[in-house]
This record gives sequence, C-alpha cells and structure tokens, in this order.
Amino acid sequence: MPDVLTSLAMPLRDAARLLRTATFAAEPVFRPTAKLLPDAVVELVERAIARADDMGDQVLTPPLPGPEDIAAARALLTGEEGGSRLALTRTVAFGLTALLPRFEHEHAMVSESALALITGDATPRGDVGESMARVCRAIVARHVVLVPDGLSLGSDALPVTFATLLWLSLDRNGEQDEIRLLHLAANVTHHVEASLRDADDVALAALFVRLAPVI
Amino acid sequence: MNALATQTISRSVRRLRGFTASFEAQMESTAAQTGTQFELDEDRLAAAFLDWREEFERQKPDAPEDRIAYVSFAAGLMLRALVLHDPVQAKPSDEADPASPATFWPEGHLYTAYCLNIRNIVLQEKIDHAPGNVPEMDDLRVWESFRENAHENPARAIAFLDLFSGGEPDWSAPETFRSERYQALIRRICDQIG
Repeated sequence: MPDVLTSLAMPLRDAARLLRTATFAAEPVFRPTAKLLPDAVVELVERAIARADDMGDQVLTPPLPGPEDIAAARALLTGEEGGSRLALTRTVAFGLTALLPRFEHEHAMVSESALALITGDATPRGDVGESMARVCRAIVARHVVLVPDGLSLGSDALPVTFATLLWLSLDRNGEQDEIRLLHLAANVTHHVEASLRDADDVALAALFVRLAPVI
Repeated sequence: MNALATQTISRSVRRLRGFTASFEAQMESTAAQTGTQFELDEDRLAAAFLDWREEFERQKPDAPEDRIAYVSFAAGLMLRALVLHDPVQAKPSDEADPASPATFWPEGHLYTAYCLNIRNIVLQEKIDHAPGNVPEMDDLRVWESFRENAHENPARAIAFLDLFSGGEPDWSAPETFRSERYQALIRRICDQIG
C-alpha cells in the first residue's frame, strides 16, 4: 500500500463520501416504496438516510488547503523542491470537489485514495506542461470522480480536471482568494473546451503552459 | 499581500485576476456615482479578456517609438472586447437623468469609463501624463452614434475610444494598429501628392 494511504484516514473519508453518495442515490428509489411500509419503518429509514447525509456532508468537502499545501502540491508538478504527494492529493481533491457543482455534479464524490495512487506517478518527467498533462490524463482515466448513478463524469471529466490543475499551476505570492482563482481557471477552461476535447497530449501540455501565465 | 499588488497596472491588467479585480472596482465606483445597479457575468468577462489578450499580443509592436501609441490602441481593443461580449447587465436608478450618457447606455458607459481609466493610469505610469476628459464624453448625440455603430460593428468602439480620449479616430480600419513608421510614410506620400 502506498505510504500516503497508511493512516487509513483517506480511505475512511472516501467510505463516508461513498455512503453519502449512495444515500443520495437511494432516496428517490426509497420514496415510492415508502408508501407501502408502516410509518415507523419509514421514519427509521429516513432517520438513517439523514444521519448518513450529515456524516457524509462533514467529509464530502475537503478543507481549503493552506498556502503551504498548495505550494507543496505545485512543487511536485513543477519539479521544484518541497513537493508532497499528500499535499497534491488533498489540493486536487479540494479543487475537483469545489468545481463539480459548476458542472452540475453536486452529488459526485472525489476519491482521495484513487487520487493518492495517481499522484505517485506525478514526479515530473519533461517540462511542467507535460507533467500537468500526464496527471490530468491519469485522473480522467482512473475515474477519480464517481457520480451517484455509478457512471463516470463523461465529457465533463476532462474540463473539470484541467481547470483544477490549471488553478494549481498558477503562480502565487502570499495568500490568495483560492476559490476565486479556482473559478477564474474554470472560466478560462470554459472558453478553451473545444480545443481541450480535440487536444492530444502535446496540445494539452501546450494549453497548460499558454494559459497559466494569463490568469 | 496580493500577488499583483506590486505590479504596475499595465502589467496587472494583462492577467485575468488583475483585469477582473480592476473591472469590479470600476463597477463599484460607477455604481456609487450613478446609482446604477450592475450585474456581472464573470464567464463573459473572462471571454472578453481572453479575446483582448490574444489580439493585444498579436498586434503588439516591436518598435519602442510605438509603445505609447499602443497604450491607447490596446485600450480601444479592450473596449471592443467588452462591447462584443457584453459581460454586464445594468439597471439604472429611478432618479437617473435620462439625458445622461450613463443612463442612455449604462453598460457602454461603464466599459468606456473603465478603458479610459486604465489607459490614463498606464500613461501616467509610463510618461507621467494623465489626459483629461473631452467634451464628446458628455454629448448624448455622440453616445447615440456610438451605441448604434458599436452594435453594428464592435471594432468601431476602438475609434470611439480614440474620440473620447482626444485622439484622431481611424474610422476606416480602427482594428489595425498603425505604427509611427507607417503613419510617417503615409504622411510623406500625402505631402508628395500635395
């Protein structure tokens, strides 16, 4: 097992998120059936769903990473000193989770464990753009984001991942409004979506390199 | 400290974060002055910025003698992008003066004020000269023509910004930057023709 998972905190958080996602998916199924059940049973199931919801909500949104975490995550991609896989995992999980509602996937879950496995390959080879493109493709291919119906994000997977990594790659000098920066990266991504979908790995790397200095 | 705080405005508006922050500041300032309520579509603002930035880089002159003239032209390009993508929806206050350009076309007035202010700040930074307003800025007939022309062809906004900044508008091809060398050549040919 990769060292980044050894604390078990990540898989446990994923389990809670999965429970939250599953209860969201189960609720519409339960509603018609509830009419056939005694009130006491309905109340019991509803209470269980609500508790799972509450627990899931507490862990569903990863905390806003601090400047040190973001710097360490960015450094891993750029090949600078001080890179950290744990920071990259947390930061990308935060970015993806924060952007999913923009793509109308409010109830999707981001698996930190799956992300942690990918960030093991994040050691830069080639230039920064190539490194970003490789991690971006890996996140999309490994289905890091799960949606309640069990399907993947489909065509939204690439833009949401690209926007998150673009945000992460931005230069910073001191504290920033990270949510604002994240949404600026998403706005820019929205306007290059057509190029993004047609991009091979070289073009994807070039897009990262071209857009990051503009934001 | 903000990442852009140490940069000059001419540098910071070339980044989306600096551009957005300065545009929002203009929106707040104009709203306070006119009582107009503005609603910003950030996605459209980003589109305007990306269009502007691409054109700004494409036409950027190499010759040092063109840099000051390019400041005004770049401000015009910015106005064209804002008019084209129209990122703001405005609701003037009930007490607003209907004869004021800011009431007649609040969105266009906001975009123009922003571009003129950016232009003036950059000129102040580069040559320590901040030009004042010209009478056309308050002339409703000019604004009627501006709105109609800009809706037909957003590139004409570049010429109108020249007019509002006291320059000589190029009405025939406003979207193309004319270098000092090119303009000198044209002047020489005109002189020879007599």
